[in-house]
Amino acid sequence: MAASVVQVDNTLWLVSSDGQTSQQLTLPTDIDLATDRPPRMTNFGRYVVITNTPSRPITVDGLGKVRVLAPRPPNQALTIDDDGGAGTLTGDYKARQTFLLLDHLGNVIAESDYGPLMETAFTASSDTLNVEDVNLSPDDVQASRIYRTTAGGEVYFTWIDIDGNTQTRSVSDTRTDEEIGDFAAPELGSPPDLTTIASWRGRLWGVDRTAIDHVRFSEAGLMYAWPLANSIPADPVGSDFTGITAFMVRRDQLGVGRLNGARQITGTSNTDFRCINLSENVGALSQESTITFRDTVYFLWFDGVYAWGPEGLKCVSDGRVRKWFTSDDYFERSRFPFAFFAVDPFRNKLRLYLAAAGSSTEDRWIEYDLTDKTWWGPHKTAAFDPRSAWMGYDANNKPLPLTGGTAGFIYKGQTTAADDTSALEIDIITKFHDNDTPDIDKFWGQLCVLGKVQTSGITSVTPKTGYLDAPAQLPIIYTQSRGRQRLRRVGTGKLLQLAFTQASGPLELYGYEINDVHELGQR
Amino acid sequence: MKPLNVYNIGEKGVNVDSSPIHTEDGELTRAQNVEHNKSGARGGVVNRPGLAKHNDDDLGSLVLGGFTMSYPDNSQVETATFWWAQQTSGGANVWYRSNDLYASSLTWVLVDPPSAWQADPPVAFATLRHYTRMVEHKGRIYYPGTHTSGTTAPTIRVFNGKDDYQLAKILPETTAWIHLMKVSRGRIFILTLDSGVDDTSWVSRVFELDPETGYVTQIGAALDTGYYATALEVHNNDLYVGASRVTEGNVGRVYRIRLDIATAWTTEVNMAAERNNITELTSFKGLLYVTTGSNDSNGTNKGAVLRQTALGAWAVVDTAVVPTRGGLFQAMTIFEGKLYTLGIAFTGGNLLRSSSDGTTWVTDANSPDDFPDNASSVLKVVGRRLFLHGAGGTSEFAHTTTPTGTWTTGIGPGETGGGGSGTGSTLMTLRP
Repeated sequence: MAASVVQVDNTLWLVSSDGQTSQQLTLPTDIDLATDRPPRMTNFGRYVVITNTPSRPITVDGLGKVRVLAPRPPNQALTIDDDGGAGTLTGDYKARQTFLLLDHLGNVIAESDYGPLMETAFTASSDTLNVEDVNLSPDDVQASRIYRTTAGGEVYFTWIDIDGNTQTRSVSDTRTDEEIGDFAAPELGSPPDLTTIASWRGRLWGVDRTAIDHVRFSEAGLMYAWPLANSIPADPVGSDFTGITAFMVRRDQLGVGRLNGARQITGTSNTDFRCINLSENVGALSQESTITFRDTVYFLWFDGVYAWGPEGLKCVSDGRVRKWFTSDDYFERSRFPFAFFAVDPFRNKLRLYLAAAGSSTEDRWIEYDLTDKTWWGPHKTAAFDPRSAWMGYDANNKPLPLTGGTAGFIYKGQTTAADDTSALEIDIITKFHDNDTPDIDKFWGQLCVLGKVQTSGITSVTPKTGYLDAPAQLPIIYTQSRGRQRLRRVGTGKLLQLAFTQASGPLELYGYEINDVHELGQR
Repeated sequence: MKPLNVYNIGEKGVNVDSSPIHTEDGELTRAQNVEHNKSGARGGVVNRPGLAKHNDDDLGSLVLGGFTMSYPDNSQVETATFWWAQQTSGGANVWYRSNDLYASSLTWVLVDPPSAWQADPPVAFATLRHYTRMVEHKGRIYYPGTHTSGTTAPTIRVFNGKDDYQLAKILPETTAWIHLMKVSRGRIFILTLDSGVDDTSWVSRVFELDPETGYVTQIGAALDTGYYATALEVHNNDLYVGASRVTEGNVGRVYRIRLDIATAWTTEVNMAAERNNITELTSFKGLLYVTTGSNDSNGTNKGAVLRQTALGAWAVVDTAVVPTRGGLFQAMTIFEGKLYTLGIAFTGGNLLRSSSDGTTWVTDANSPDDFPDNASSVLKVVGRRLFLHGAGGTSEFAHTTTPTGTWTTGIGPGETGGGGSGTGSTLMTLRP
């Protein structure tokens, strides 16, 4: 069973897959969570990495232990001494220190960057060596690692591990240069304050809050090592104050979104990673309004929803619901940067949460059916205010779309036609039917509605007959327990539109008929 | 005039882009809280699925975001399946299993596998204190299999929850007994006792077991005669081994060797007079601690907890308060960021003491008030619980998440006659 890591206001929680158990997690010392922006998380190995809201990036393991992504490095150079002991080491030696986070088995979870270099090497003459002035970490580290050079060398090798965070000197060591190990010290580097994060090809990719136009990436296989040289500009650098807005992760491609353009990372290693142009006409508004499903990235831009997949880049909302995004009649366009996506893999639908026109919260959502490429909505709920969404897994490890609310609860789908205890407010508006003669007045006869026989419930059917500005008539009541019901005559006019509304339970409409439609003439 | 028949309602979803005249029959201009009814061939609409609360507990505020781990959540997993390695009165030592250790009605069932474990020690060693001779490591139980002391080599068997098999042997064939096993820094170590003519010729050896390959590697030479190894810990890249006396007059001793590098043991420290037993070594917050016992009747230097202050230098940080004899710190472990010790026959009973810094110690619980006397042999941590259990023939156990609070107790399988001063009967689990 896989739990969800959830940020609730300025706290972090672990919620079990069945939702029955919620455990508040303890944050590391000096780590706070911001509440004015969304957390951005990814998996790396056996850890969830969290950025954007923590004051420094943090990780959560399967036991609910929260750690910093990497400890802060030592801030003072070491001193080497000979401890007064005779030995076999002769020559000039230097040493550097890092801090280690270890798991309960002693495996390294994270390593800090190196401390400062020693200015002057220690000259040994048939001595044993030990280290003095060992830095103590302000973070909760389990050990320090000391690297030293060979005699007169410049390359550092792993030398001593010092347990705990209390000792300021190491024990004496007599190991020769040949005995301290064959592998040079690894490339390290402190992770920056990241605004967004992605996991791709065995590395973490992120954006520094202060270097907004550059993609930073970790060393291969290491979530904690972020050398400064691991940086790629996503042009055009300096073109706006937003910088990189989103990562668009596909199997073999990593897209980099900006407000008005998209780039793509190519290459396989530090030596050949580069950023090439994907589009100069569309971009991504935020990480939350970008989602990957079956190797296709769907993202919201100013004028609609786009898909970047094996068939290239195309808009999936044009020709159907473009007006939702380009007019002010439906949604609050100034809040598009706050929109967020979810995916329901069993219903094969994408869900995009948006703010209704004039609203200051994302209180509506629209759905895109990936099977028949149709759009639905806008939907709404009276049960809660949606605020976030992510994919969970139920007790049987099946995907379970989850939606976070504003009042401490997370929501999941259910078959009952209600949101918690609130009925669904259904509102369907048909096209203006014209029976292929839009300019001819017609008599629209008796309306017959067919639907599933329900145990109870009524649906109001409100006709409009006339031209496009026809007023709504008094509603007609369709009794759902009848299944098929013949209703009254609808009226006269060039066009007919019907609106079906109900808030009393399930609804399943098969269709409707008007069996005698007579043309009255052109008037 | 043809009738109006619309049975593909919603077939094409919402269309607000086309003009009202050019919208098709199967299109809607609004579809609030409905979706395409896929059970129909062409259309129909049905209400969208509802939404229900997922979490039982109100998290209290705005849910800003979440992410699901791609691996199992172990924070809430508490296995109730435990195995008890039980010594019997004669015959092979057996295993019992309980699937409901945390339930109110505990039941133990005799099981095989795991197969029988190491028989009683050779008669010559019968008076020595017995220690935990099996370990859990990465979801497996490693335990000594049966052998004929002095004739066949001791074996290491591994149990994966379903089957067990022999993984390794400790050669030579004359190796008498596996005396202790421990996991330290993720590595499995084994202490053996080789037979000789008498206690002046018995020696302990130290091995490391590679659980992947079954290779057993001896570390350094055999320890000195007159001692048997009874504790072990990896600390600051060194392997420390505590040894208790065998020969009258010897005191407890700690050895040290640079792990993976050196080949010769260094005597780290000899205990003060009368501190004859070394029962546990633990690395805690960067410093090394040892627990000792004193079983001489004078009790001048009582059993104590000592801390290494420098190589070769140790200081007492906690002392047994005992009415008679020397007292014995039986066990030591780390739980929830504190160091815990279990002391036997102290004033006030068997005491569970704790320290956050290794310097200031308090008593958290005692027997018989909080846990049974028969649960006072072994300290271990399982998941989020601290366990005590006995090692005798009528052993009991106790566990808690809060040592200063309530303890839950239970009785082991219990075989009559399998007693003695600790037989090594052990409570084991395959925890995640």
